[in-house]
Amino acid sequence: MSGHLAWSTHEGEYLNDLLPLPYDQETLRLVAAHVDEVQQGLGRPYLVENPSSYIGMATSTMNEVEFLSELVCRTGCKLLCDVSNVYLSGHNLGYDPHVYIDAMPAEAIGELHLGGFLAEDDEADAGQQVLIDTHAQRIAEAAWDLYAYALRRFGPKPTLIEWDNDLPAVATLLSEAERADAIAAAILEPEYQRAVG
Amino acid sequence: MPLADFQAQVRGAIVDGKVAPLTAVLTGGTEPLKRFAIHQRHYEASLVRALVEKFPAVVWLAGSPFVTAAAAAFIRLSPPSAPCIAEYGEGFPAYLAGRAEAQHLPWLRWVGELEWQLGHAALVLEHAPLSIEALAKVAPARLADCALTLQPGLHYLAAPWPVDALVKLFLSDSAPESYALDPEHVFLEVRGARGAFSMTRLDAATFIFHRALAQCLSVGGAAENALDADPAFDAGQGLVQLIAAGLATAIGGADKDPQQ
Repeated sequence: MSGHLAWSTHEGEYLNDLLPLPYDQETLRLVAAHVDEVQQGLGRPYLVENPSSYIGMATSTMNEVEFLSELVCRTGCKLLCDVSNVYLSGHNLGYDPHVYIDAMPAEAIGELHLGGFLAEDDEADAGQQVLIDTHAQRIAEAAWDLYAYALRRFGPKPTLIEWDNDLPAVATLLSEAERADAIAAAILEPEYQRAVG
Repeated sequence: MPLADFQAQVRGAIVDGKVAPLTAVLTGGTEPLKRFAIHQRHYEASLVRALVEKFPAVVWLAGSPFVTAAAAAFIRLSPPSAPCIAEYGEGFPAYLAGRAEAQHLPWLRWVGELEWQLGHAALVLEHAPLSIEALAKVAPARLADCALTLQPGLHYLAAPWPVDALVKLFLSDSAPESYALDPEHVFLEVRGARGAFSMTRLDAATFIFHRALAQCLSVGGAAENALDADPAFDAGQGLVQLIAAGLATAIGGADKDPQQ
């Protein structure tokens, strides 16, 4: 079971989106309490997924990966690292996605996600592009590279490719899955051989 | 700023377009409010699309520009109140009919109401029907106090226009160039399951009888309602026909005790 670090409901209204949170102590207490409640109900760790972000909050007192790490400490939850979201959010908010991956608590990573995103002209920054999380196209080369980087850091993890809009032919989906398998094999097999040999 | 206040501001910006309170809060690019517009556009685009796709016959009859504009206004007035977007839009037909542009389409609300019911009826799974033999095991003296459980895909619509004919035209892919629609009260029973549905016109008394049973009235109470509409209504015959059509799945006391 997993869910995004985001919100969508306010006073009985459902806004049909994954909306950003300020990363501060109040949010941390609230999210930790919710995760705790879910884990008590499930009787097993819940996986919290990093969201795709277009905006940040001036009121945040910590960055996203610090927030997630503290959440793991407080609740014992696991993390679902959406590698494409790390890349997309880093591009949109101006941080290095490799530094983000480096800062994640590797022992808490339970699953990886990859998904396609779309580059659009950024109305907030003339001449720049903003990346939109669409799950409607092939995974970008830069996200594949970051996936390889994440595998080296986290080791073998179940990986899901998210493509749930504008579905292509099954062969296209399978080719994306095969590419994920090939990257994992290329990175992890030598490490396995070293470990057992 | 307390988290609840921040969430209220975001809600106001997305639903009502009031972005000013967020000016000092957001970061991202040189004009963060324009980044925030990504969330505003997603709210509008996803919900308008959901409404337009849920009422295809309404779109066919009233035109996409009108329905799309009405949907864009509706989502500001009535945000979803449930997490599943498939359940969103029950109030849209009434809202649509209240718009000035729809005043020359007095049947539009009822087409929308019927489409809403058809969409929901088709999503369910039917249960095993109650048999005549099971009904026969109920002591006659107790039958009037019993309540029936009906199939989950049953819906009832009384409309002042024969909108089932319009919807059947829409579904037939053979619409005529023009079609005369005269006011006529129709009493429709919608039944659906596993992606399929049917519409049946009932007489007023049978409609009242079935709808009352669907609302968990006792057999006796439902029969009284039907007899008010038509003193000649035969409740026993109506009950047998309902069971024979597989519309009921269980019979119990008025408090829905297990079958007895």
